[in-house]
Amino acid sequence: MRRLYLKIYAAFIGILLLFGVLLTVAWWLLAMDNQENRTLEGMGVVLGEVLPSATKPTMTLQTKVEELAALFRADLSVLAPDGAVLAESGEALPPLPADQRHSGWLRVTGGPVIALLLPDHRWVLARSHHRHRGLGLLLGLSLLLVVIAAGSYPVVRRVTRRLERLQAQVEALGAGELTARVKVEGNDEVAELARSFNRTAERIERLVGAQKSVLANVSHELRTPLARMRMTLELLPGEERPELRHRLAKDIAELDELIGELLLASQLEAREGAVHIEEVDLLALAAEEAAGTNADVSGEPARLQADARLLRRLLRNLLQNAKRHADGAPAEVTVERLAEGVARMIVADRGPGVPESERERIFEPFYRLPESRRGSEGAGLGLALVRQIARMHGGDARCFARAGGGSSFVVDLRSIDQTSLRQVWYSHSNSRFASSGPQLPAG
Amino acid sequence: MTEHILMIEDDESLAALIAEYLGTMGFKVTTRRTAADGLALLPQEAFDALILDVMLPDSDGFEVCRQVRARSDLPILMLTARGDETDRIVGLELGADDYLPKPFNPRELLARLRAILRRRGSAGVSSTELLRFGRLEIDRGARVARLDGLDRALTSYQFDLLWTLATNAGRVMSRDALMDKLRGHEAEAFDRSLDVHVSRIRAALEDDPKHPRRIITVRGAGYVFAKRQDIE
Repeated sequence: MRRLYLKIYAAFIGILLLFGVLLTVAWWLLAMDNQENRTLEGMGVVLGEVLPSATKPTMTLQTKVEELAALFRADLSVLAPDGAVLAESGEALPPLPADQRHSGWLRVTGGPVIALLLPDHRWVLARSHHRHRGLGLLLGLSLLLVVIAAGSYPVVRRVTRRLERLQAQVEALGAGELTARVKVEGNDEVAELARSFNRTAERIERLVGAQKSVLANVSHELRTPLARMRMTLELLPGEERPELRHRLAKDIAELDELIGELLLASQLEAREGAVHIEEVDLLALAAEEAAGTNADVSGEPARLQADARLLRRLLRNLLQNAKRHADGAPAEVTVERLAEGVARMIVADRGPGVPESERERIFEPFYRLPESRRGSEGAGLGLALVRQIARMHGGDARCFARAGGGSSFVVDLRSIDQTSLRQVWYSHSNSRFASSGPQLPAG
Repeated sequence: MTEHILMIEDDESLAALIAEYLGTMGFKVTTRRTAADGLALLPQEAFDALILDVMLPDSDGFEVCRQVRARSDLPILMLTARGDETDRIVGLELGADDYLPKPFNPRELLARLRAILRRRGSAGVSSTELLRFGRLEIDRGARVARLDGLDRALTSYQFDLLWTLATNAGRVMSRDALMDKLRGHEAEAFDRSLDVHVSRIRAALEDDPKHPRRIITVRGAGYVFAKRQDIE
């Protein structure tokens, strides 16, 4: 059984039934109790005193029996020690079992009969007119069971509903919805759990908020001096050494880029910042980005619901990576439409290529190839962001050797919406860099 | 006439640099360091535009923007360091006319400043009649394309081709689709092929027509008009 409330409820009903069974058993055991038998024997003695002795005429006995039957509202018989009926009133009672030696209950059809042994070895059998009382009791108990079962259902359901609500909020928090809170109901452990969840969520929200404000300030504090430098460069008099100016402008742009990447990485890490999903023509976007780096673009238009800003970043990083390692030879970008809302983009270069053992590791942040031919130059955050963005878009980024030399970076992408985004964020929360992204058919 | 700009920017050296740069371009710039000082000065002098930093010591640039907009329709150019596009949307919704992320190319600042000043002068142009892409402005009402605020010569057919491409920015347009949309111009279209017209437009609008950044050829598929332009 999957649902907690069903388990609790089943246990509850089970206990109730067990209780009923035990009660019945106890009743049976009690009926065999000596104490009751002694009482019955006592009653036999008393009856022996009350009833006319066997020597008196049968008529006298009959009168007395009817009198007593009326008094007790019961069917009554008086039997001789050999079981023959001496007198009776009301319905005929079943015969006395041959092996009956003591006063006690006879469990026979038509309701229990009490058999009392008189001191003169005669028997009195009696059956109450209210013999259906036992059945009534059983019915009553069953009804009670149903009422309790029906009444306890909402109670049990309420407890687990609160747990379910709590679980939904925990998941929302995990997916980055930091304002997720749960209503505290009651004063029990579940309520206490809800309270601690709210406290934790509040703390997380505060911490993330603080971090976010630090990041925003870092961005501002770093970029204002960059803006000053850019401005100064423009105001520098003279026209000599234009290549130096150009290089300085490029360095400023690169620093700005790096700040942007760091901020984006931490935003994605925190599932923070709005994702703007819109229709993106991947081929057009590739052409636009490639125009800045002289890369060659071909393929077919492929429309996706995606975040254009992030896809631009992904492509720009791949193109920069290709440019950095391919000595200026233009990269080739191919866009394929695999299905409705599914596309593949390949960025191929003629660089030195990536050794097979390193093809996964290059997607780690700030990873550097061991024998990097470019000295200190690593990919920085570039490829890590590429993979992160691809996975956000329901796909993955991988590196392959290219026939004829160089590398091919294959990026698979799918259309996303807010729901799928939440799922991706949630499922990758513990294994973001594990290679578990959904795989598309190899093309 | 010298245009008078109020700049609210807490970084004094940056403010001085911008003031100097805009000064050489013929603007008069008055600088204030805090939102309170800037807002206090606004009603006292006649300004033509406001350059506003998004992070100020005493307030948020968006808040200042909201307050200014509540009182006047002074053109506002916001400077921000946040690369997040949401900030841009928020800024524009609160009434900023344009937005420029730091660090910016000074020439772009100049172009955008001129653009918002001119737009204020020709109020009433609906946004569906005017498209802006970085330094480029395409005005359908006047049938004119401007780069850095300066008119660029295009034939009527070339303007319609540009308009068609620009309204489909970010999408690959095949040659057939373009020809189809421009069918009214058959006489001119017969003269030269579409590609020749595209190269003429490039010559007029691209910084380096050999390496186009605005109208890009996609081999075997057609042309795409870049959605994001002049962003370094």
